[in-house]
Amino acid sequence: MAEPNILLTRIDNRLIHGQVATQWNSTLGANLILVANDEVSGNTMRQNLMKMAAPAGVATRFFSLQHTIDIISKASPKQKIFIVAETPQDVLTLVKGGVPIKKVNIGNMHMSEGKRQVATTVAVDDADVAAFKELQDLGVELEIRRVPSTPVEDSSKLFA
Amino acid sequence: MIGFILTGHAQFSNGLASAIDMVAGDQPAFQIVPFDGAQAATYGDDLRGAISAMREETDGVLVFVDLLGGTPFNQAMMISQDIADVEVVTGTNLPMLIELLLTRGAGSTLAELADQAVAVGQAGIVHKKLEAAPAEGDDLDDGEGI
Repeated sequence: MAEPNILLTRIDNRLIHGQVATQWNSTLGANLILVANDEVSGNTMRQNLMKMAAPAGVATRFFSLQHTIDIISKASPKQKIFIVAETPQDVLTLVKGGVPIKKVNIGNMHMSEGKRQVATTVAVDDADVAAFKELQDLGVELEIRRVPSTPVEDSSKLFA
Repeated sequence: MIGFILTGHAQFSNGLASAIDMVAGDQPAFQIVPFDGAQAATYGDDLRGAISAMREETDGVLVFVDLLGGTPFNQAMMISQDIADVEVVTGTNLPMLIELLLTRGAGSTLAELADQAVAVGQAGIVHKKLEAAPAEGDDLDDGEGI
């Protein structure tokens, strides 16, 4: 079985929204946006809302983390996949489960209680940093970038 | 490259520009000219200056205005009579600008972009209903893959 064609994996706590649907997807040339998220995989209301946001001609899938791990190897070579996940912990679960993710784009991680702002749109706590460290140790490239036309921010900011 | 000028009453262009920056990031050959407050007296000249400066650096200028018949529209229309390859679209909205900023690099002509702006802007106005039930089958699923 050929390796699934995963173009990029993005961490974005808003999952599919304006930046993802209008900018990232067309820049990547993906034809499948795979939202890997346990909550959304069981919430058809949120799924239907995100389907409205997805660009025409782009398929969407809403899989739990475990289902993503179980099924990713069955992807067709024609499927150019853009994975969107909510947290670094979820991405780490996917990677440890054998999903061949080589590069992670860190988009939006909103500020909340107990988090610290480390980049323009990225706030982390110690658990996030630990997950990022582990991803890096597993050979996953990390990139902080809000939208394709904005510059990449130094990912060492995550560990500062 | 076709240059884009966005103009409208009060903070219309500033607000749309800040939304574009959030969704799509910084954009080349894209400039706003607010019709607002203390600058209102020189608005016509400012708009003409911005359009002609952009025109010198680009293959044409598409002017996005807010309201048919308003001063930004009227001024832009008059300027488009004096400077070659300047077109005006009105009723500007965010979907229109986001899509056009993304696709204008593909070599479309000024006239094509103006037509596309109208089509995209109109398509962006819809009444949607959110259902709790699963949506109808994914028509992009050809039975292969995941």
